[in-house]
Amino acid sequence: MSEQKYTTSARFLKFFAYILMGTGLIFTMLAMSSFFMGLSLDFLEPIYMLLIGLLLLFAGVPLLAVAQQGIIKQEFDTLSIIKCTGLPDCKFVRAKKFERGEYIFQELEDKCEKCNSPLYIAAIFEVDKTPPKQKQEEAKKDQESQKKDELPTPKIIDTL
Amino acid sequence: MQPYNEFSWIFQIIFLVFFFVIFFYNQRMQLWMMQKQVERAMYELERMNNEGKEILVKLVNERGKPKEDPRPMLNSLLDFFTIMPVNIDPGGIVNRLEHILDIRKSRWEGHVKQFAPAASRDEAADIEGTVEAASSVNMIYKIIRHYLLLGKKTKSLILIMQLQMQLPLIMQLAKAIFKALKAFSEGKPIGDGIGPFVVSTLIHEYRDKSPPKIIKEYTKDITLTEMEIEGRNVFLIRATGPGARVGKPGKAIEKLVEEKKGTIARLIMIDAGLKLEGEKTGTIIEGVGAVIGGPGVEKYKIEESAGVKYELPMDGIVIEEAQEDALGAMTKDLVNSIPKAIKKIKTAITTRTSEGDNIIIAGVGNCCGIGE
Repeated sequence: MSEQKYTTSARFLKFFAYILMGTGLIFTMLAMSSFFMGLSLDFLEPIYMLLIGLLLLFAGVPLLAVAQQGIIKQEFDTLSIIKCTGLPDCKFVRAKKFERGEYIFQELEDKCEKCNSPLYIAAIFEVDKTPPKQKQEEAKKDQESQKKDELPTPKIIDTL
Repeated sequence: MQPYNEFSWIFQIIFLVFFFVIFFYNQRMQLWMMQKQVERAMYELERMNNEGKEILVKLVNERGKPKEDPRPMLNSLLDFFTIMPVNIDPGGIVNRLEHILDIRKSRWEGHVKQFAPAASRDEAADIEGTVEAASSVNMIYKIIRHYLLLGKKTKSLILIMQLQMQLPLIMQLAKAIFKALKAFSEGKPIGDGIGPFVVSTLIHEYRDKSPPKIIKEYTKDITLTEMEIEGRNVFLIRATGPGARVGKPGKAIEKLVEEKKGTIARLIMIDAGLKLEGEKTGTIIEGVGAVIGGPGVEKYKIEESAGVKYELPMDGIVIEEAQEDALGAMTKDLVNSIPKAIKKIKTAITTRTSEGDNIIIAGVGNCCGIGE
């Protein structure tokens, strides 16, 4: 299953919630230590430290819940790739949004704009509509892994 | 010694309360937390189940034009069961299993015809696929609900714990099946259909050089195409599209091998296979054997008829994909893998067979949205 992706603000919120909870935990532990292990804390009364600690701990929980709402839901578009039957001489290729009733190798009534040959659906596939910034990062990662493998995958769709 | 503090008693009480709560209610707290996680998953499954049913009803109403409300019949079909043959005496179990699966298939076809009388043959196949996916989601939801309620009733930590630990995999499967449901209802090709897609692409590549001879319904829901590829006489087998059909490729291969009386030189099968985590979708791997999934009936037929009887060499080409890719709509990565798969087939043909040989190439998978 793909890893969940968060929006930038949600990631910041999640980080902030963890910081709050961590600080709260440290405060609580210090307060407890001062009573049970005799650790002296001059700067703050242990009872207030405990209260602050618990407050911070509990404040982090709803913040985490709010951050969960910032999970990016992947959205997909289904494309139909239309080619000309006059291949390989005619390089006409067009992509359009999939409509119900379409299928791969379906011959269309439309004619090729270039050579007037019949058109057909060569492929139907889903593409995700992730924000361009994320796509660029993923493409960069892909390129790096391809370099490592030294076996680059031919991207036939890109040349369509 | 620790100095006196006016708040000491508060800490003592907090500590004692905390100690006793943890001591006596530790397991209960754990149970509660796990139970909440399972409950959340169950609500998600309930949502998928309800949405799936709505998609199905909408599809049936749109395509099938039923005379009456299809909901009661659909609901009863979602709970349809199939009892597997007895395995205490395993002799002949494959034939018995095939018989039961055939009955099941014909019953489902009959039901679909009944509540969707106006649907075309392909649309009926899509509806059948949607019903099957909706039935699987319904089954997962009901099983999870059963164990959750049983765990709550008996306060059994072991039941809830097992359920909670398996949840990620169960949810992954449920989401993948739900994706399949959506794809079937819209007639979109799914990742599992990559085998037939490769075979059809191969046919299209060579059809100008050698006009194909097409036999529709060679066996039930299977199309056989005969044509010349690289100087060899090739028989291409795939399920009939573009409806959501898988057909019985094993039966078709068995029939063809028998008809050709052992003159087939090689069998090449292409199918989608589950990738391991860390592997890339669309990776192509090769091997030997009958490359076909399902309950095993078709695989048995191929091994028995082609393999044992005629000692036919069997090559397998697998296009790797995750479960969610296999059941969800076809992805770009899978489409990109087709030229590589065709290259592998051509290599197998030219290096492992001679000119004039008879070869079978079978593309196995669901043909939803994939024409011929």
